[in-house]
Amino acid sequence: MVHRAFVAAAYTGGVVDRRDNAMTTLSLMRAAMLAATAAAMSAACVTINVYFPAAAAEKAADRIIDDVWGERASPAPSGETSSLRGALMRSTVGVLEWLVPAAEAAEPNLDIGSPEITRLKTQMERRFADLKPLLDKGLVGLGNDGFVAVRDPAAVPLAERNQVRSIVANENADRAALYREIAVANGQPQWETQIREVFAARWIAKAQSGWWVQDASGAWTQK
Amino acid sequence: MRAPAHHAQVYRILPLLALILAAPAAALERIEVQITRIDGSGWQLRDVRGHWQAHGRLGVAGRLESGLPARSFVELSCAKLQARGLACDALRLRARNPAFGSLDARGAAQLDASGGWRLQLRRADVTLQHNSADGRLAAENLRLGLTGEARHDGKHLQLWLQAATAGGLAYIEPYFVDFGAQPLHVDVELRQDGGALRIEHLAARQTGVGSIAVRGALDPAAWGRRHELFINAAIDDAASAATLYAQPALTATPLQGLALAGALELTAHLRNAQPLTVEARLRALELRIPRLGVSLDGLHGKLAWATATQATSQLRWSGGQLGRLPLGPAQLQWRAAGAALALSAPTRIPLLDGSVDIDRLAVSGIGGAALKAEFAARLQPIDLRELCRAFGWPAFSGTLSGHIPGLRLHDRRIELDGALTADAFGGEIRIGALGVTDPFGVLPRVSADIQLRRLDLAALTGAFDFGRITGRLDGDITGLRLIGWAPVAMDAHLYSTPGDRSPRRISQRAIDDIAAVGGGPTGLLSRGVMRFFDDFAYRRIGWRCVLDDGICRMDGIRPSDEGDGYVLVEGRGLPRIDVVGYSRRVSWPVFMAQLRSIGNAGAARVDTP
Repeated sequence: MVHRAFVAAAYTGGVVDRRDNAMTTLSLMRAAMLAATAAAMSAACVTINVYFPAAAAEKAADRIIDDVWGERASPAPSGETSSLRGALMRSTVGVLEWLVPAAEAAEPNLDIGSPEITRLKTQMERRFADLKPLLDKGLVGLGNDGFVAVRDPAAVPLAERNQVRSIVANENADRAALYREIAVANGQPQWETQIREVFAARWIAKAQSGWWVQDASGAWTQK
Repeated sequence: MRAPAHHAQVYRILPLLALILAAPAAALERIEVQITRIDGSGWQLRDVRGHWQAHGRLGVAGRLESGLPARSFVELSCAKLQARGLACDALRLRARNPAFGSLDARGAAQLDASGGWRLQLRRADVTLQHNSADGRLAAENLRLGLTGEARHDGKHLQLWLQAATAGGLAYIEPYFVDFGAQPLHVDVELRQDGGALRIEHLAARQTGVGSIAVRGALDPAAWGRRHELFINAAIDDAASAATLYAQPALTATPLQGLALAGALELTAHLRNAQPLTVEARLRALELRIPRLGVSLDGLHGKLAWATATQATSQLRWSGGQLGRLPLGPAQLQWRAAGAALALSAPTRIPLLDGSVDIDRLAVSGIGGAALKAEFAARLQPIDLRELCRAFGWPAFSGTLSGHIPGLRLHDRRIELDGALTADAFGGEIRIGALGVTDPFGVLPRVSADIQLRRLDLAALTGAFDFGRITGRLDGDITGLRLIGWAPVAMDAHLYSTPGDRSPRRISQRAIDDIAAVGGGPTGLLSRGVMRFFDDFAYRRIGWRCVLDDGICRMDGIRPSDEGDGYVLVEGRGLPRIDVVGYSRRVSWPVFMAQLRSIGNAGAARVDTP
């Protein structure tokens, strides 16, 4: 079948990087949609599995992070590899659109425009003025769980400990609400954990050099 | 069973002491001892050097290694050791540990033959310098001066201690104190009878904050869990007490940023980490809770709470603010028991020129996840003009009165029983299905359905700098959702009251203004023959807006006869004026901006037959 062959091509042509998982999920998702369409033609009973749209979530996370941190704060890594992959993905979508327009319409695109999300984003954007100096100084780092953490509590001057604690607690309360609201806005409350994981990776990927980030084992490293 | 092990170590040293004490008999001048290592359970003393001189001068110094992150150096000396029992009149203990600080204590010790002992602390200077790895406990050059005495008569231990800070900083998560600015003085007397430790007297006073007195008893082995304490605190400066001790504990809670001013007195009775009674007396206290938008001035009264019995509280205030609404003086009385409280008598709280009469207020499950509140109140007529001014809205004329049948709070959500009704603009406003989600959290949200019935358009339009419309208006606003008091979603439908027989007229200016809000051309009616008419009769008015995602999808009474517009105002008689809208998707913020400053160009048309 033409489309199956194409999916395979996208697969082998795909650049192997840390986002390969997202790619796999996407390909699987497309395959599932193709299968669903095929099944719809032959049978009346169709099961549609909704997969977590990891790539869409990454894009959504990047947009929110850019807004919260301001554009200056995000030298997004863009290399030849990613543009190649981007082109590949675009053409994949194009072919699929032509093959299965109805299925393409169901392509999950993460909605991040809900008023709740906008409001949380504004709160976080406002707080960033206070949070940035702490990130710059390395007192606060970006955790591997999608939250911020006081990296070395003992390094914070005594008189500032409560202020730092309060900024971190309020930021994390907003972040937790943000992940939940994105999942809810897309009608998939069960995605909350996956959204948080995607954000965790993107906050870290987009962190300014000099900031401290937590690796998968929980150890702090400086970007 | 750690204590016996310690004793075993002490007994191992005893022969050495005996040798030193016995030494004068042998007419010795000086003895020096060196011990490489003494082991205890959990500690080790290394490189111990002891010396004794014939005049009774004794000294021991060594390096203590224990669970602490760094080695301690300990030096104990006695200028005059006497063998009557065992006594030293000039005892000095010096210790230092790079991770904790230093201690220099002078005093006297006496050990009776009967087994009793006395330890006198003439003066100890302690400097604490510590920073725990998790950052939760720290002291920076915290200097303490101590004096005291401990006495054991063989059965009872008695301890007196006075401590005063002499500067430095301390952080005990979440509290931070600068003892240079607010020094602390503590005076304590303890007595141990058998197992229990009795606090005969404990008084602490912090300059610029207040004082606290404690008495009671506790089990030294589990003092956090087994105790009975009577606490009395007099907070002279509630402002600094709130900054130092309340705000840090309330971080990221609805009470975050709580500010007080004035004075208060607190008494509490605690048993085994459970408060049995708590009482607070307020004297001219000011309270501000920024996150809830609450502020109250001139608070006086007694707040009482008890686990087992009903405790009565009274509270009055001279004035305050709830959000943007000024509150008048009021007096409340309620009874509390356990996790529940209920208002004893109906209460009137003046609000602008009217009041809120609270008929019923009962809260249960306080402090738990199952927090529940019930509330019923009546709103005595409030001048709308004042209310609108408070909110910075256009000054509507009329009064607002209403009834809140019941309000319930549970599972982080406030829900209204039945509907909230208000009489305004000569008609009725009914707010049903009112819910506030997460009212005190990061993202408070309001949802409601609103019904407007027979609102007098003359009163409504008279409030705006808007043309004049007469007649009556009904409205149904369903699925209204507000975030931060701004509507983000709704299905609003406003229309002329069906069956209403009052005169329906619309002024030339109102038509102009409607056209302007819709972004249409203005001034069309002031040209030609139309300029001779001040107002026009209309059959009906209708407007619909489905707001979602910042976009208002607009509609009117029916599709227009020509084009794909919709009729907003359907004229009647001659000259007949129809107002037709053409924009179907309107940005809500733009729409609101246009409402505020009427007058712009866009798509709307005035049809004249």
